[in-house]
Amino acid sequence: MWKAFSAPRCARSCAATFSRPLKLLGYHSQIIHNNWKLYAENVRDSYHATLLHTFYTTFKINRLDMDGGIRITDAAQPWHHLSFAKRATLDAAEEYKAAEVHSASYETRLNGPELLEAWNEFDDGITHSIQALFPTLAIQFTLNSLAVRWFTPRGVDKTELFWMYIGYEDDDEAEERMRIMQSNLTGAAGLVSLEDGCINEFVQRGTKGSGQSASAFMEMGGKTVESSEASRATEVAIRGFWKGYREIMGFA
Amino acid sequence: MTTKTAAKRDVPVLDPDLRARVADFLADYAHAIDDDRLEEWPGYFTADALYHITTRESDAAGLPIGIMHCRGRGMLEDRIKALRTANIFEPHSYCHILGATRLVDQGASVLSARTNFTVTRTMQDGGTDALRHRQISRRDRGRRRELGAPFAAGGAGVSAD
Repeated sequence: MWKAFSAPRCARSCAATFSRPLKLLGYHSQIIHNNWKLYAENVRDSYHATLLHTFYTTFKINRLDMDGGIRITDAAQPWHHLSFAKRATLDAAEEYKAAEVHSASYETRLNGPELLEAWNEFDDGITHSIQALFPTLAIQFTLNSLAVRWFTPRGVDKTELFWMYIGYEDDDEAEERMRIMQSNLTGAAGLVSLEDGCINEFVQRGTKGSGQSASAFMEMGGKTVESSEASRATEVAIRGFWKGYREIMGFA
Repeated sequence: MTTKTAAKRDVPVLDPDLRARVADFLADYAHAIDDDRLEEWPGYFTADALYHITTRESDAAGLPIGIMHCRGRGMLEDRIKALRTANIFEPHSYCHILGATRLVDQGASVLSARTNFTVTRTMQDGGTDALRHRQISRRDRGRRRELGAPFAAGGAGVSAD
């Protein structure tokens, strides 16, 4: 049933990710104080990851100056997408230094460097990927950390976000240990993802404004929803989400 | 059908001096966090410490990933470095309320300690959440292991290792 649903919607990425027998490594959930649609946007917004998440940028896990793109994974319903980056292709852009981007200002040495000793999981060079399935599911591969995230509304401004960490049954001890180690990047206390919980709440407050009738509106560039294989500097994935939402809700 | 077996009774440590020293150690640890002296925090661990925070469910199921897992003091230091120089978060403060510490002699110079605790987290607007934990600290040839469940909604902690 999962395969019937997911296969046409996430194409090759799910097939590769779930090609071997899986092993549950752990799970937890957290409450985030924002509307669920803000987290749906968070998963699809390809700018913030490398602007906000210092850890990604500094340790060259995920940056816009790596080869990467957004692939709309279901042409019929362009509501689902894959965002990907290839770590080995980093061509360090001067802009990161020159502009003193917040997220590149971190000291570049870890006291526990074994955290980032990753191996190539697949032969396509992709080292970071988020496959989002409309509306509330995302499959994350960050280095060797495979996790399924989903979220569910607990009120207008309250969302429960679930994290399920997975390995493979044929992982050896060292591989499992690395997946456990790299789970520190994400989750409720993740070195990277702890920031999403806070930022979404800021956006929730900002969007609501201070007055009763206040509202916020920000128009992003472009109107179409199509793949952007060569760059993640695009809002196509977010537009894809809203396209699906508007169609289903009858707002289109 | 399972056979009911009597729970193994640990032998508590009664030496008042030893008990006071461990309780002071744990209080100092909590106060360092409450007073934002976070740079001192890794110093409460040995170089090869295992620091593990998990949920009751993951612990009961024997799953290796919980909420945070650090091997070695270096990874703890990286946490503080990230917090101080990199991570974006809303300013907040913590206050730990510690329960009584129960100390058990595990033999071979190993002591294990259990301290239940509650943490309140106060945000910028004064809003305060109470997070309940159960903490297990175990001095195991100098290694320290902690278990707790800080983020579980209404979490009441985990079982001992």
